[in-house]
Amino acid sequence: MPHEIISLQIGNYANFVGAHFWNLQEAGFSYNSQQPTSREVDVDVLYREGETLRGESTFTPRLVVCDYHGSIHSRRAIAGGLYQDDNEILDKNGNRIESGQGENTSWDGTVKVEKQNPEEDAPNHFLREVRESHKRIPVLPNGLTKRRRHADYGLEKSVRTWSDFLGVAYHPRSLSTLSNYWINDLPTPFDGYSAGLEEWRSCLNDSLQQNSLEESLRHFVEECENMAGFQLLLDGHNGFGGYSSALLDHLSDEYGHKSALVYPLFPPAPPQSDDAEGNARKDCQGLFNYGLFVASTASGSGNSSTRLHSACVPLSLMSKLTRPRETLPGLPLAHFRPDSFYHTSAILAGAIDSFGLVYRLSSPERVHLRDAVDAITPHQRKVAAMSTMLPFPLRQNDSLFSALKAIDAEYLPVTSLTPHVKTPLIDSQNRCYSQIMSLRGVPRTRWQCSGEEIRSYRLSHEVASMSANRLFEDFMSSYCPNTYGVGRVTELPCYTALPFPQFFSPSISEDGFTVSSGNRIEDVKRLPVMAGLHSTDKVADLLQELTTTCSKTTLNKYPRLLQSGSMELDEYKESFERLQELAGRYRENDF
Amino acid sequence: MSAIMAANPRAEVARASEALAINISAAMGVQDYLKSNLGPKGSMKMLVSGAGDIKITKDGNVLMHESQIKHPTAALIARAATAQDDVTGDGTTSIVLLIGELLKQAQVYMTEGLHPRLITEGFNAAREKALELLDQMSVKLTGDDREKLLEIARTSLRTKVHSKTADLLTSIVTEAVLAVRRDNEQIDLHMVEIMEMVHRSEMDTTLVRGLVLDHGARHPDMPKRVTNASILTCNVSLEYEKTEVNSGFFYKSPEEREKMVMAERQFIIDRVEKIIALKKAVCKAGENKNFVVINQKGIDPLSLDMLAKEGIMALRRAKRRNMERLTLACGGIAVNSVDDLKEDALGFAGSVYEHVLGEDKYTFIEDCKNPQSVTILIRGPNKHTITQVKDGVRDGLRAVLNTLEDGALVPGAGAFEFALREHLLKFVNEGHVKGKARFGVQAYAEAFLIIPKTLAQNAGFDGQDVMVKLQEESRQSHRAVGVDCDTGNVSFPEELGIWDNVRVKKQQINTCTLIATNLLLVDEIMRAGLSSLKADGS
Ligand SMILES: Nc1ncnc2c1ncn2[C@@H]1O[C@H](COP(=O)(O)OP(=O)(O)OP(=O)(O)O)[C@@H](O)[C@H]1O
Ligand SMILES: [Mg+2]
Repeated sequence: MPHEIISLQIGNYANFVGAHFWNLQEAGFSYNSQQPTSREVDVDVLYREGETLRGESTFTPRLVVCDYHGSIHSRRAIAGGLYQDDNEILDKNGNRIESGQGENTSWDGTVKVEKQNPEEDAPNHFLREVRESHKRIPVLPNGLTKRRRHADYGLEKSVRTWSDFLGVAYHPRSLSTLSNYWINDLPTPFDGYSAGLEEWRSCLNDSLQQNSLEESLRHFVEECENMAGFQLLLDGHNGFGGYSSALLDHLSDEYGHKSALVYPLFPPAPPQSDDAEGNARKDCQGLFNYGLFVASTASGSGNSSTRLHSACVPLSLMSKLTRPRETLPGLPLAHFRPDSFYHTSAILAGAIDSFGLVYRLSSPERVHLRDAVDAITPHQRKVAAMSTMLPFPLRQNDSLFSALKAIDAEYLPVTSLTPHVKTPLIDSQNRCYSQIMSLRGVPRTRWQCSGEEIRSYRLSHEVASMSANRLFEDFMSSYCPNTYGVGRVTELPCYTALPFPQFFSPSISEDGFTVSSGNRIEDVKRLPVMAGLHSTDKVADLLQELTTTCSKTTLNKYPRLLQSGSMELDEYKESFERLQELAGRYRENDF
Repeated sequence: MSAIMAANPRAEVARASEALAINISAAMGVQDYLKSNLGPKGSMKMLVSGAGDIKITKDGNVLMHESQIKHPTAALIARAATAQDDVTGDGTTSIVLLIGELLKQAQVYMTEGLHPRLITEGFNAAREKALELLDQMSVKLTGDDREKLLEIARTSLRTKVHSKTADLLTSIVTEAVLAVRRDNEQIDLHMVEIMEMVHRSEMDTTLVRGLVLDHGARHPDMPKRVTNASILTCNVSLEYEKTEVNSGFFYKSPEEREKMVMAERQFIIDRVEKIIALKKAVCKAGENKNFVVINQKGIDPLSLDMLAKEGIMALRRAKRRNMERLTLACGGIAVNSVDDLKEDALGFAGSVYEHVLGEDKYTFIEDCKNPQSVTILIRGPNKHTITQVKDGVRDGLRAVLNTLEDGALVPGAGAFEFALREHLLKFVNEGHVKGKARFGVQAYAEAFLIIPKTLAQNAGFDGQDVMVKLQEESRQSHRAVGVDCDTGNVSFPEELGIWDNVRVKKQQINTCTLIATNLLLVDEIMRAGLSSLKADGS
């Protein structure tokens, strides 16, 4: 019986991360009967089997997404021709043409056809190829025979939104949009937390809403035999933050006993305009919204018996959200473009996917989502940090033991993906309460030490015969000796095939190994990755920044922060106090 | 207007006349976009996204909703239309036309130097008269005037879907509203469930006197069709879930945890057994009675197994709202705890069966005794047809509801608007309006003609010609006259059964006056990137 998890992606950036995430999932599937899909992972946790009206079977994510109104203009493209209506025909560009059969029964009078921005919706090179290769059901390049190099597709240029590089099909029911806000909407942008709260309410009542998120969600839940909970990616910096808070409340009401792993995202800042005052206000607004979201999800208040059991993991490739903002200079072995949604979201997706293996394992070693959430939220410290090594440095002939041993204690190439939190593992001053980590992409043959290693390191029999998980947990506790930790090692690598960006250091080989002489010609196809969640006192630094931002001073300076929506001053004050209280929990000494 | 200020704080202040020109051109832009859709002969718009997604509609509210409106004035008008729809469910296209026309008519006088303030004074005076006339023209319903309810439903539906479909839906929506009506209570349209099915054609849309659920039993051995069924509506978890108690895996030994798991599991088993016991009590052997469980919470495979063994049909994760609908349709009460299980909590349905379409399952709960919740099951060959029908059904339901709540109707086909013009001109000519404000009243009178004129134009006739015919007829017969969209001649809408809702007109009169007044009195407007403002409202 799978412990199903339903994924939710709320907001435009969240959907960028999500698109990479599902591409990575799909890349891990094999359609080759000679080399069947790895059984290490239970695919039913994230995926559902379905059937079209024509009786074709389908395999799509248990997923509900929400983006701006009008932003999912290529519903057809995203749903990938799965579940296509029967009387529709597609032309060669994937456009629908009316069937022409029979008279038009929709109206007695004239019907005026209005094409909406056709040029904007033209598929890019990547999408065209995906569609061509699989006429109606696009699946990832995995099954394609043609040699394809990332550089040939110019995705850095042609990706404007997440559907431009989504190589998999979502179930049509997965798609939903806001009802009142368009992307870059003027004169009323969706930039306030409270506007998001209001939008949720209006979506519930809106009769025009075709696919209400709430209804779709219910359908996906109904299908589950024994759902473990939710994985929620959301844009925390704008109205989607408020929308997601309301969504979480809804989840609590309806599915209170389930667990949720919540990832509020903070995307790269858009290019600044030359209006300094306006920039400052916008930046402040983003942080303010983010703070309110964290306060509402992580404060653990409310009726705790019905409250969703959740952990909140703030993510960004910016290391500092307050002005002047700072982005991560890059990962040690991956040099992404810090201002690119397409690039930064790929890193986040890689880390989230890799971590998630711990609760998707098919073996009894699987960590139930509920236990994972419990483990990283000790003492109501509901905010945790995420770290990653993407890729994890693994040389061609390393065993797991020597790879871990080779990691330099001084220069640990671990990157923190939680802003304002310095790398959780590295600092001996840092207090880590608990952690769960996943290391993937280490071939099973390397899990045991070689005879040579046993001899040269003089390993005891006990160490030499340790399971991979134990070895990894030992490694974890060598950095954080008193920290409760769970580690899981998997063989399945992260498949970074097209359309995953190729931003890797030259010292990574095609197969993802670290090599000394970098002369890679082909794209990197797979990677070992390490990713983990940590409950650490460093989180207090982030919470402190958010508290400062949400303080009264900011509000005095920018009174409009509250105006755009329904939030009352009292509600806001309450959130602010929760945030302070939450930050306080990380300074207490009890653990 | 503060919204534009936010959009570009460095915007310059445009001079008042310029501001007005901008407002007017924006209003005209929105008007142009919707004008051809008005009335039973208006054109339908098929919106096709580049990726091929289709939306077919002529509803003003939907069209406003489907276009990204960047112009603040246009956005204001769109909001007025949305509000109109929220409050009454109809009349959005008209309101946009009226606002545009009021501004246009006002402009005629303003170019001659008349101050906007005087015009708006006239508008307000005219508004009073309009409400007065509306009252005079309203035709009161006597008792349950089913015939009139059918007529208003038909009028509404025929402006939204093909006439054949409209005629089918007319009785469906009327019967649906009447079915959920309860004595001395406000009608709750939510008790009419709207369910859709991509199946056959829109002409197979039906009214189900009971409930259709969009899910089915999840166990292969459960019956797919039962008769004579007791219905248990409940909100009780029948799913073993990890909880705090057995979690926290780093504190407890595996044995300890295993024990707790068993205990919790037993807890769920006990619940299921209580349900089974009730089933056994009401369905005695040989009586051909059956038992159906509809649960808002989850039911896990083990529980399903137990229920299936007893021949019980069980559905999980029912919509929250269906708890109420079910008890209204089948009787009984929704049970929140197994302790409340007793016979009189059960409802009844003569037949419950499953219908499978691809991966979608539907469960029909029919043959209920006096159901007070019903389902309109919309069928259609594809999603966009269904959506079009659904939008139409919503409008139809609202029209019937409005009528019952108003207890009255006004003659449609432009009859009210035409009469209003005559009424106002008479009012002015008789010298009831002092000073220059009378030009405002005149402008108002002319503006309302946009409705009958456009109805005629959209039917392919010359608006002016038709107006002349209406004038002649109304002076002779002193009756409410409207536009016959088939012949371009005069019609008597009361005879033909063409009606509008009183509250729709009332809201229109109030809102269009208010918005037009605001737009005329705007002294300054921020020049928020004037060049980029698009007047076409899209
Ligand atoms: N059979 C008919 N003959 C003449 N006029 C009609 C007929 N049916 C409806 N009308 C008129 O058409 C107008 C309504 O048209 P329509 O429903 O397209 O627009 P609306 O109600 O203003 O906006 P919405 O798009 O919100 O429905 C009313 O003035 C009504 O009196
Ligand atoms: Mg109408």
